[in-house]
Amino acid sequence: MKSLLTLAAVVLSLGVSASAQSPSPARTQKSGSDPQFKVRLDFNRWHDTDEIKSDLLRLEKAWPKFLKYSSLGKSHGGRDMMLMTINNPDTGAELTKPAMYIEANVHGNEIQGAEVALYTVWYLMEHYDRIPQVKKLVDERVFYVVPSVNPDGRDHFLKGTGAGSRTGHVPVDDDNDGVADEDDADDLNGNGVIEQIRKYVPGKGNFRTSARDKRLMEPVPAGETGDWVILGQEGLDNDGDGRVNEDPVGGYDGNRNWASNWQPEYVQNGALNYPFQLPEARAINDFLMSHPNIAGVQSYHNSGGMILRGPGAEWQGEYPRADVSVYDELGKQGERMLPYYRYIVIWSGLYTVHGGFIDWTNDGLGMLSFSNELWNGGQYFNSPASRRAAEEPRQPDRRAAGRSVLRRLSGIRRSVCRVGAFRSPAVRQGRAGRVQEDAGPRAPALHERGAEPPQHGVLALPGGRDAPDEDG
Amino acid sequence: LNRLPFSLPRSIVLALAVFALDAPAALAQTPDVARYRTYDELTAALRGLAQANAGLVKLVDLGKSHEGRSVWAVEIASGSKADTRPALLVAANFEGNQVIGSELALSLVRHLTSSYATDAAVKKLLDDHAVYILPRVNPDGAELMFGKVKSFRRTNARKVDEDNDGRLDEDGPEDLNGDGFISVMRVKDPKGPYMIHPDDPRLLRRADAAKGEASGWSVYWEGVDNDGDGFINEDGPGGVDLNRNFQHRYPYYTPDAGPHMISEPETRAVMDYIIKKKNVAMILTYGASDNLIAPPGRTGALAPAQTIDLLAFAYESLAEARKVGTFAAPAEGNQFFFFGGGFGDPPAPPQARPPGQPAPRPPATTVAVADLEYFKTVSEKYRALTGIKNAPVTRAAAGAFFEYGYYQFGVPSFSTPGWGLSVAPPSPGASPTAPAGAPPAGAPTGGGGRGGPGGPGGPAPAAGADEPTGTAVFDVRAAKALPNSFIAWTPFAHPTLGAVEIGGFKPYALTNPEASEIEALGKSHAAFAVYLGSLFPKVAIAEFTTTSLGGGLYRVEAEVENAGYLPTSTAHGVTSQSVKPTMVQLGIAPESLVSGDAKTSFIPALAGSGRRQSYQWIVRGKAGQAITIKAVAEKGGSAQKTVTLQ
Repeated sequence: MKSLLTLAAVVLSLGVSASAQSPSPARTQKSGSDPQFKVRLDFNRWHDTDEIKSDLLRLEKAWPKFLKYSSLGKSHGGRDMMLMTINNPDTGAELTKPAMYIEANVHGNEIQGAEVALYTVWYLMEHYDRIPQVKKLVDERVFYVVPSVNPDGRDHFLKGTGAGSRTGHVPVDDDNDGVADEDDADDLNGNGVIEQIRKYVPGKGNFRTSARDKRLMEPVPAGETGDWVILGQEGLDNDGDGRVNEDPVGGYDGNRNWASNWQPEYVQNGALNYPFQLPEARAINDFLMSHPNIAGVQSYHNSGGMILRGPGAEWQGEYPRADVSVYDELGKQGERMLPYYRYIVIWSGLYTVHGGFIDWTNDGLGMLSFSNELWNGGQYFNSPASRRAAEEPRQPDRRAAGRSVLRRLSGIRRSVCRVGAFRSPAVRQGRAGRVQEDAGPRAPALHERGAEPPQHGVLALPGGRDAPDEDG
Repeated sequence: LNRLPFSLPRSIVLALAVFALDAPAALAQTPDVARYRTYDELTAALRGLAQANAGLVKLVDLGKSHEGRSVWAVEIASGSKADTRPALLVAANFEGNQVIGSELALSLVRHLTSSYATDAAVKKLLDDHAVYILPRVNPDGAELMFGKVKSFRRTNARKVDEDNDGRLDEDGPEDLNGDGFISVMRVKDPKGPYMIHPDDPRLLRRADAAKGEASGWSVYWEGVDNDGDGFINEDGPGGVDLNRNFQHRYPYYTPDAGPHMISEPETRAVMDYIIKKKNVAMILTYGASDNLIAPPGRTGALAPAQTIDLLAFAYESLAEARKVGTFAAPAEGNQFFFFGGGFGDPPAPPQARPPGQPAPRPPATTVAVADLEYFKTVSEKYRALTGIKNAPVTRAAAGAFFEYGYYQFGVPSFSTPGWGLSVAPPSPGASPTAPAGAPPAGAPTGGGGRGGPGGPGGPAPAAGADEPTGTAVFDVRAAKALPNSFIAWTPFAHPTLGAVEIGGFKPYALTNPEASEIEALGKSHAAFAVYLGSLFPKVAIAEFTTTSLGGGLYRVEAEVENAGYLPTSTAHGVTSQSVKPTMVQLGIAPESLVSGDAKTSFIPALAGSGRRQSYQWIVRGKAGQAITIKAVAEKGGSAQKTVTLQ
């Protein structure tokens, strides 16, 4: 147990190291305080899938004894499902040692995890000879690292306009006309970003500009009229059916296609027709099921600073007491190591998820599983609210933590609704998801409507200054 | 989905076909249809029919079983674009020991192909619609019927470590008395929980201590403890029960259900097929569950399954073996009592639901009230056409394909064992473990009623039970109604148990009729399938007119009609969003629409028998301009009409 805790603690801490590390290693090295690294990787920018692959191959070349790059199969778009295996053959074959499985980026626009995964591999190798704990981990354990579970979505986000990048790219007919993905958003002004369209209609609108910042839009109070209407996402009626942008690329949630408490679309939006229908989910599940040595799982998402565990839904019931005590121990350890991170249960602290990945790995495969929502505005913006949050007594009262997060989320949702034109990529998907709710009679099965991850708004609000105080 | 090599040059196809047909062709020609067929015989028959009816029949290989046999789909339709027409899917033999279903499906292929030219109803079915037939979803399981030693096994050929010892299939049953059947052993055992059945001394019943009944018998599957772990026959060959492997009410963590939903190549092949065939508007399965001999009751729940206790007792002897090596096994010296029941590790206290978070709404587990009448009508017709009044042994339906068909695919979906008993049904309340019409389960637990078409007045299902309606013990009736199904008990000296008796029900006899009945059953079931094919919804443009309003404006009016019997979607298909709403679209540029209905409208469900929906638009246009309207129903075909503005 102790070694398992150590393992988990080190792995949990990696998330912080990675994000705190930009300035890149190359630059920090100039300060003279760091050792000479064998492989230099950039951690001051995002990597598309080709770059991740080439970095993994560089790492493999540098440490051929420990590292093995392979592909678990192809995504729908034909990209490799990249896997890096870390194993010290001197201490035994892979399947004879307990293993940690780390993955990220199942939501195409939650990209940070891939860099964290890359960093993890790099870190464990660079420090193998320097840090005894790392050596012990690598010698006694195996690591399987899949930097991107949704490489199609990742590249769409990084290279395309970014609209609708949470989903994967298996076509879905969102507007019930028998044709799939034929009316996506369009970058009308050619600036590389899908924005909102507003229209000036003096005295006939339901929006007005904010007095605090003319760029921001806010709904007018009941009984008044404004000068603006918001038409929705930038685009055209590509299929000529009288509706705009109602059938974008994909239209599902790759993190609802797993086999524990899987539910059909009307209970869980985005679940598709059956578990492991997606080629990406299937490739990963085939790998997991053939590697019973995997004992621990980390699935990185963005964002909000959460250390999540299952269950994803209330009706699954609580885990057995023995399991809960292990999760609690690790989760609280994680909170101590990761400033601004909260250890919460998915359904009671975040929102309900049916058929989520770590439900499957815990319930179906018996692997101890966490999902960290990386990054939290509090780490960057030392606002009074976040200071208070940091000083708040932490667990064990998980209920209080859950309430607090909910309060925070609902505040953020309000604020996002007022916003007219963000440029930050981080907010795109939150906005896209919301706009699509207005799209048609059958709301697109893209996101769970109430459960669209509103915490992404945190990233978008500059300095938290425009965010309503979470307690206010 | 592996198509046969139809895309290859014709000569190669012919050469391949001839080569493949060479040996089994003779079998396909044999006049003897009244028999059960091996995989090779079935395949030959299907190939023969496909070849003899090219242009009408297409044989498609949906994928391979664990042992490399094909899951065949026979697509029967005339003309092109059959995939846009409402279709009937017939699937059979998910349970390996339910081979009668394969024969009924084959009979249907024969009937449709041979009657197309002569029978107007069949011609209409194949001209206007399509029929997709999957005669044997579990070819590996079905093959066991033709083995030297027959057992009750219904699973596919996946190797499963049932006793968690790291070895696969190392302790299977043996035919100890050499009669060709794996039946059961009963043995006098002071610790055994069963007693001789008071109504039939050949049978056993669980003894009720509270009623002063003495026990003293144990029951096992026939065989020895090959791996010496103290359990007899706990890890035999196979497998996953394919009708326990689908997504509706999937029975998690139960024997034979597989590692997860749709874990098997056979079930995945079926799923990948059906989700591409969105025109499938009705499903008929021949399997061990029933909703045709007895339709769903007032609450929308199925009639109780009629199960055999003697076999359940044999399965019970293995229950402990499945816990070995798991946390569910009683740990020695490490247990403590806790409030709320029993020994072991107490559950952790549940998380509280945060204020403002709505209670989760569970999926429906009973037929929507608005759909019940359709099920009843079809069931009545089934009984009338087949003459079947009494179901044989049946199973509860959790994880069955036909349940997926209704609850998640959203179409009327039926299942029948395909044959019946001539024995009258028992008087009400005769020893069912749960009464008929018991409250259905709200699965998963958590309660909350369906808020579907039943509306506020609809029934609110209770939570809790595993099965919606429980089961009715069927041993006595089965032993009486099927005298050939029982093997008399004979003594045997067992190496570890000592003196035992071997006997009980005969494999396959409870799940399949005598071969002599196949022909008549095939005919009546083909007639029923053709009847189903007459029920599809059918959208039509009943009215489409224009009136000039002057100034280049025109009023356009339309009435969309469902001329079929079934609605364009079941009520549950609307609730579950699994049936696309019927799309009504006016073929004009969006900007020339001035007012009225939207260019593209949707009807969630339009009832049949001539029900209509009206539309009106004001459009800007020119005299002489043609305007087209189209209506597209996923399950009811499509229609379009054109008028000229004047």
